[in-house]
Amino acid sequence: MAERMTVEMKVNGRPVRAEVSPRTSLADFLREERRLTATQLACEEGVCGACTVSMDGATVLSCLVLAVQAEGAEVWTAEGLDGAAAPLAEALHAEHGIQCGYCTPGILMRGGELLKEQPAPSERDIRLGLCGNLCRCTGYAGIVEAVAAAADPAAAPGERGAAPARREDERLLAGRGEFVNDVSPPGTLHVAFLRSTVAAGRITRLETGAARALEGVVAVFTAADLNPRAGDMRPTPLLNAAEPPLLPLAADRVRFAGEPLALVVAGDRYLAADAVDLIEVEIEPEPPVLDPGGAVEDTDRLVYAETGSNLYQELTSPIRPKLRRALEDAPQVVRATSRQQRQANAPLETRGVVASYDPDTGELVASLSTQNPHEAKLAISRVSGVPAEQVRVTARDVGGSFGLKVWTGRDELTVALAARVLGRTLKWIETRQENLTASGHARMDVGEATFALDEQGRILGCHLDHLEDTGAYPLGVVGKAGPFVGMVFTGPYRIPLHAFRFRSVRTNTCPRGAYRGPWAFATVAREQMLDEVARAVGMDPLELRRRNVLGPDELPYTMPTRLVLDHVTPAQTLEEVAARLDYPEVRLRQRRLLAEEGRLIGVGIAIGLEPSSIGTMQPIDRDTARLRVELDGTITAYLATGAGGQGVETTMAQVVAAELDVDLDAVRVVQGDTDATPYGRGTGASGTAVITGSACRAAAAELLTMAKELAAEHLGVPAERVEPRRGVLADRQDPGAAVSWAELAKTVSAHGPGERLEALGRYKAPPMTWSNACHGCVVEVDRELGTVRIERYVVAEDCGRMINAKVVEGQIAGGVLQGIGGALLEEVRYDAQGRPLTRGLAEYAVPTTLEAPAIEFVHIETPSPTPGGHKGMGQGGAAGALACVFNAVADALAQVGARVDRTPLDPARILTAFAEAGSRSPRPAARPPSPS
Amino acid sequence: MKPAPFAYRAPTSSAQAIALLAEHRGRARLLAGGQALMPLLASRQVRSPLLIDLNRVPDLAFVSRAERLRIGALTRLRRLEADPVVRAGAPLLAAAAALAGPVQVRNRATLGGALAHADPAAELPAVAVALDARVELRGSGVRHLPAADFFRGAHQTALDDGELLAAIEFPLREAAFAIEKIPARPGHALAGAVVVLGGEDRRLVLFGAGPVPLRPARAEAALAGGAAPAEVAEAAMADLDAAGVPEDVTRALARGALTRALDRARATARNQVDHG
Repeated sequence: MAERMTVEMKVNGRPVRAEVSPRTSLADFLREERRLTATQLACEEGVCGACTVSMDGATVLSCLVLAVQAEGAEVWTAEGLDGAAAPLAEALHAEHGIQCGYCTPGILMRGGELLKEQPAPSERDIRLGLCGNLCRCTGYAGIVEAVAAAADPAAAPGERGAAPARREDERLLAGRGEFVNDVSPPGTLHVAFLRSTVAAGRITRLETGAARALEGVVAVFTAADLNPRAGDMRPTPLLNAAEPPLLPLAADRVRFAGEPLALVVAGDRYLAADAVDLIEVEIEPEPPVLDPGGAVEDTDRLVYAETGSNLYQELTSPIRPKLRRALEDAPQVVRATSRQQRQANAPLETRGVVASYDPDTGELVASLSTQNPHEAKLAISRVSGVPAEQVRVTARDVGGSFGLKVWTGRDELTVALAARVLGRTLKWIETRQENLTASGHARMDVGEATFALDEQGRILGCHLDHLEDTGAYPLGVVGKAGPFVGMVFTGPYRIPLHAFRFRSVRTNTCPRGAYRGPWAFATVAREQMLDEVARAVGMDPLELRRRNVLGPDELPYTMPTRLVLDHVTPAQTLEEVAARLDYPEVRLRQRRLLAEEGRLIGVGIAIGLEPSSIGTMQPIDRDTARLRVELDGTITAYLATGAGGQGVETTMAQVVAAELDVDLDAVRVVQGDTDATPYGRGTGASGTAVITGSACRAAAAELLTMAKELAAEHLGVPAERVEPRRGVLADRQDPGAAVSWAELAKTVSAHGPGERLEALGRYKAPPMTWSNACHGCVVEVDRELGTVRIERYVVAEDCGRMINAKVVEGQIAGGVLQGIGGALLEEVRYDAQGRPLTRGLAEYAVPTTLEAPAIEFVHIETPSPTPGGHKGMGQGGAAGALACVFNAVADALAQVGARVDRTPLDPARILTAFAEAGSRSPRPAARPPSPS
Repeated sequence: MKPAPFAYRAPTSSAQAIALLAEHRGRARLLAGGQALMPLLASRQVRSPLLIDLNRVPDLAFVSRAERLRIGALTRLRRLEADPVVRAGAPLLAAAAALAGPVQVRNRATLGGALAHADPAAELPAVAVALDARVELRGSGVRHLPAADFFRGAHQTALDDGELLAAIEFPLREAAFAIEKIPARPGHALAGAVVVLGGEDRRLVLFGAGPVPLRPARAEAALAGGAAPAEVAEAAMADLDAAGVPEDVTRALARGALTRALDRARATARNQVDHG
């Protein structure tokens, strides 16, 4: 079948002639043969739009067109557009319509076609026209605004003050971003995994002979080949030493459908997939452990026979007598349940690694899609046995992650080990099916809580029983994220007494990993339950919150779990949202529309606290920044962060420019290379503004001290009289006397070759930096179809001093849309045998332009006591939105007696709730039993 | 996500395509827009030793109008949306095509491909049934079938190994219509309903609830008898019972979609009378 065909086409105006295999997709032809890597692959099933190109004047999905079908065609890719100069590209830049940039080339292609077909599109036209281009980062707001602005520059929202446009955008718009799949050193071989389709069972046969014999196959590894050579596979020693140890490939047993059984190395990805097909595998299936509730007590069916129990972690804070009395004797006691479904991070770019080992030098170089290059380097060193000094990790652009790539996964580590064993360059790009079934799942929480209240609706105490499903290979999330839910459960409320039980169980499912706010369930469960409590005691949920939320004069406030809350504004944000929504008016309208037209309107509110920059989470509680003054006077900041869409190259440059009072364009950020940057925490856990920003400030302060001394000598004045001013160091008393940064740099370099004016800054975070937000929304639920339409969405937030308001809003909007996805759409599902049912983005539906509401923002800037006054805010949007939308739908349903206690609230669940309400006779609520 | 190897041929006439099919009977697949077939090949859920690409067959891509509207199977959905002949002759078809997926998909997907794929939850097979379309199948001979007889099960049609779907013919008829799809957006649906009200000719079709587009006879009778939309939808549930469709949420969605579509189609019909 090695048939090759000649194909001739025009690509970006140039004639191209090549020999291809008939099965080569146009996308692979453009990327692999033509090295035009703007066109991205994110699903390979025609759902995501990242591979959109123009063919003979119409956009097509290049993953669904064969290269041979483009014979004679005229094909245009994002590289062929006029780069950042095109009006749409300019507008995407100006409107912050770009974060990670992975979807951007597809947006440019389709958006360009849309503008040609509809020169004056309505917002609806834009949303319909771009509904086939998924973006997981922006919440689409900036994209929709950009298309509108490109059509009509007068429609641009206008000034954005202290929110400079992102400097990451230029390369991303030109299709010159470098994602891991764009890295292809000469001689690269391609990896594919054979994975179990069975959830639990014993491997009885694994025959690789036919695969090895296939022409083009370089190696086939099984557990016997790799496991004995693997060092510690834990992605960080911080994570619990999960007994039994994690190994590269399944040896005797499989513990989830998706677990890797063998690794194939071949000349290209097509051949690697052919070889995987040829491996013969037999697994004797056993009944899988799937239900986390049942798994706790089950001693017959065990994920690990040797452990004797499926219970992985348990932490109980005792119910002291005062709390017990409250839960038993309070005037009002309400029990509520909240279930959060299994979700996937589903970044547009899947995981991937290109690992290269040179036996002559003993050096291992790896490009990864990671949030944390330095920890990846250490993990690769531990697994492969190559000393850390001889491992280099680069991570240029990362196409979204949301926690999935914060630690280096089993599969990436296994590929790095295989590269070490083979002494070759190996590339593995995760397929979407692997991403949705084997990378990491999230949420999967059940909470049952009891609340004790007095007659006035003041909460006297509460107890949370929290059960999390951690999957087959507990990764922890970041140490103790699970118990952390109980620790912060009382959140921004005056709840004097609280206790919790946390349990984590293993099941025969994909391991649980980190996802945007690993503590999110604290907000989700509490806020959903508070609405349930409000309904139970007959009080409006806004009023219940008003009676219990902490006011400004109550801070600092010590929570029952001894965490101290300060510099937050939950009551203010609550009032902002109530005012913006015109809450009393919405309630009146809700009643009127129900009475007059039978329509179901719902209002939801959720207050969230975001624990950011947590000072107890080694090693990501600290960071280092190096600043160097170049000979031309520009400043380079060397940071350990990664470019995953958060705009770090922009915001950290803003911080440095402000500290040194130099032009923003004079500061360049270098990140994503362990050889060039000092060890640091990477990007994640809402820590960049506070921790990395403070490290940048520390480095700037150190640099200024040195520069002032040098300038003082130069100017012949005491150092105390020197200050940085608009790009130079000047004498305070004689504005005319100044020396440039370039001159100072040259002075230092004159001391000898390699001498530079540079400084290192370090920062270690305080125990906790809280940011807070209140989300409010109005929805309408269709009584016949069970569908939900979001009418309005408001976020009032306080993340302290904002470095870049547009970046802040972009982070919130992206989080909100992921929360909406969790509330209404997204669910990872298994069948009764534990086989995954959601294997592609057609089945795991993430929100499109059509589900994304416009978001109204209110910013309150209460400085934190950290150097810049910032607070982390990257994750909270996802938690707040999920609870807010859930509450709004539950509020709508409650009007007709329908109840829900789990997400996602898809049409099936809502219609079922209506049906149950219809058949349920109203009965008085019995006092719930006290928790054991 | 890379397909298994296959050979590829791109005939330039339907006669050549049919000859290739005959030559490789049972071992070849026809490739039209590829929007359904390519993902199945890439995930290796479908394997085919040979792909016969119809995209270079000009005699399969056309729109013509005589006593019927005749559309070549390779006509792309985007053309159906925009073509004035289609919009005048079968406006429901133009409207439904626009719902079938995002623009990039509709730029490539074809009417014949959408029908031959026979996705139970897709709108175009339902529209073909609702409009009483006739499909033209060409192999060793030519046969014509009513659309209702073309769909045999989920992803199963009356096409045999040696045949290709060449054209689809739609009667020209003045009618009010509505299509309701859940969720109401381009792309994959859970369920939906199509309503065509043309004087005495009232046609209802449910999709998503059951393996093929379903015409609920009791509901159509109820409609003819002047029943209100909710009653018609209730009757449609009895039709689903009779068809052995299990009681589930898709049924409830189909019911809601039918009620909604009836409301809209009636409003359009009244409007047409008012302006007629």
